[in-house]
Amino acid sequence: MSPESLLVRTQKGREEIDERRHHLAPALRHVLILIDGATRLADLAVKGERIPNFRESLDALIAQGFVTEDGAVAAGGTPKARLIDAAHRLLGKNAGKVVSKLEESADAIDSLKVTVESAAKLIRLTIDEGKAVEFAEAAKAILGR
Amino acid sequence: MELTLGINVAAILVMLYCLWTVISLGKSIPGGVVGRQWRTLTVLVVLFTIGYFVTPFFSHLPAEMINLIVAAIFFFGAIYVLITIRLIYRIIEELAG
Repeated sequence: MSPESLLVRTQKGREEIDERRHHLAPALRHVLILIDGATRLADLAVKGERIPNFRESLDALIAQGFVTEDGAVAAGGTPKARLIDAAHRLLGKNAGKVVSKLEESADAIDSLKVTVESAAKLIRLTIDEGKAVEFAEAAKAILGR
Repeated sequence: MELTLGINVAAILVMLYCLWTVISLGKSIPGGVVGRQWRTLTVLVVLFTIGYFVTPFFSHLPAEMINLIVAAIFFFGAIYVLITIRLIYRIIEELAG
């Protein structure tokens, strides 16, 4: 991983955050909370500098499948591909309509911003208000403020 | 009398269609503002459906019971309308925002 790598929570990681389903140790959970899908590894290291053994905890989370590197970023994907990846990651099986909207959007950043706004409304109305905020934040990180 | 029964049966059929619609459409609305209200509306439609099924048997029920059932249907009907109006307004607000 490079300092530019973007780490994201896996399904297992989201289950742990939402429901504490995997009974993660508090120290690891603390690090998992910092993984917001929008902060690059270099900035994460700054955020986590006060946490003892931050890097080791991060490696443990990756090894245990709670966190992974954002595939689209790692592959140098387009903003649209990264947005679609973020939608899949955040919304899981409910991502269908949002992904369709993104796929139909033009590739220009301004067009994608309009589509993201519309998609966030759709998520807020029909999927989950919290996930709408997370998606909007992830999109801002991808598209810029 | 036959006209009343006919209307009751028609009402039950329409309500069964409503029940099927609200359940099948609800599957595509897992949550969010609409999803949450949709679940409440589904419960109300179930209640209405049960209430409507009783109507053909009104002639066999005591007057007090009939009044209670009708009052309950009116009350939950009013709640249904209130939820629907607020939901529509919330959607408009969201789309306009």
